[in-house]
Amino acid sequence: MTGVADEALIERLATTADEAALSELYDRYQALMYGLAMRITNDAGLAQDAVQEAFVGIWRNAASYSTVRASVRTWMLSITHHRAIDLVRRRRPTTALPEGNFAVAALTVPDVWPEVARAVDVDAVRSAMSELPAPQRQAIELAYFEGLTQVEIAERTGSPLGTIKSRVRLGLLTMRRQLEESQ
Amino acid sequence: MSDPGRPTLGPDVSCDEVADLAGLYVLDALEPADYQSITAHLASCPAAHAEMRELGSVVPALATLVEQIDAPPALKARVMTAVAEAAREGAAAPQRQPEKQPGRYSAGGRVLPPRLADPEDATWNRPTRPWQLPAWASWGSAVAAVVIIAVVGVWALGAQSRASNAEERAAVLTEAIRTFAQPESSIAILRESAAGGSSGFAAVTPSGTAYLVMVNMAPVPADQAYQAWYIVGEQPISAGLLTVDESGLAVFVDQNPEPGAQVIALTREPKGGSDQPTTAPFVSGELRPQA
Repeated sequence: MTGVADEALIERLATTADEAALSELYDRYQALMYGLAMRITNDAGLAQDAVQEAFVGIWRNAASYSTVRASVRTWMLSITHHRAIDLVRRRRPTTALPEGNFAVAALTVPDVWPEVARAVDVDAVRSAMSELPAPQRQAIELAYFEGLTQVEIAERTGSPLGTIKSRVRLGLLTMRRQLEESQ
Repeated sequence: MSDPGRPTLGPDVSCDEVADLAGLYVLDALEPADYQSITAHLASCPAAHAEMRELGSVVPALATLVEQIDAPPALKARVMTAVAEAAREGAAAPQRQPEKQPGRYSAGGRVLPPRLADPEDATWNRPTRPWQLPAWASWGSAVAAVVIIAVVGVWALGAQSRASNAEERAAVLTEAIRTFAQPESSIAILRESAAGGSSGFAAVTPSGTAYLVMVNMAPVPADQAYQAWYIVGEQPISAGLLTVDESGLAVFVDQNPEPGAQVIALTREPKGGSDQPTTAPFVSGELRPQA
């Protein structure tokens, strides 16, 4: 399977539930997915659960992958992110994500993940992040890496909901501009 | 201070509200009800919502900041076993749905099915072209054929102008027609009596996903909305609000249709919908087994 394109592996997974394709995808992305899940959950057990559930979700949604204009890597990471956040939020029952809809974001916004991330290196991302005003950076980090909701970020930082919304939006727009300029 | 979990959006989400919350949406940082409301809006809205692409493009970059960590070796076996078990079960596990309350408007809880196709279904054809009529859609009575051709025709005429939602809406539409064509589905033909009026169909899978597709829907005034209803006995229960695109096409999906519904009906209601119908249905159809 080495050398087979990611997209072809997803296709095989979708059409025949090909065990070898699944094994290859796991080998390629387990470290990325587990690293992301560990960062979000800070718990090895939860991180393993997140990766396991993510792969089940990937299999279940493989047939719909063609509707998503994203790389396989981005798509798999978005599912992993959603699962990890969901597991973290189950500890806070009022904010658990909708059951079973872990891939919805990736499936319902076909153009949401273009190729910015493919071309940028980690130093450029780190630089773009560090140059954000601290409140914007904090809001994005609390949302993406700790799985806090808008309401929870507002409570954590003592800021109004509208301010959190603006900080996240401005922060992401600024990062996008900086990443584009770095290419 | 606000309560976590409390939705911040009303039931009728506007495009401006979606744009306003796009940053939080792409980061998975909305309250669950708001997340579902926006997801449902995106699934049916004809607008491009370019802000999702613009802000969402940064999210994969954030993932590059994460240190890669090799998972424990035993995890691979767990993953392979879990997927094999899911495959043996043949389909996605039944999903817990929000409790439906009769007479209570709940369109905000409508979500797109996370799985639009059955990976085990070898006959599934991916909708590479939104207006492509699937081969299996040749089934049916003359009425059904006319409705399906009208739906696909309307979609074809408008498909070129639709932006990022085109493929997704086409996928839902294709799945709706596919459900309509399957003998184990329950269906209802909906045809307005007035000449040139709206028409369409409802189709419900045995596993409990309902689709509603209407064409030739007239625009409603800004202070009104189309609302779909399940009729159980004589009790109308809200299915949710319909979004009509510029071509008059409405595509609606409900993962949690009302059990025992005998009739599907549509009414015009005040903006935001009603707990109970305030006008007589302008179209309705009896839901019957296909076979």
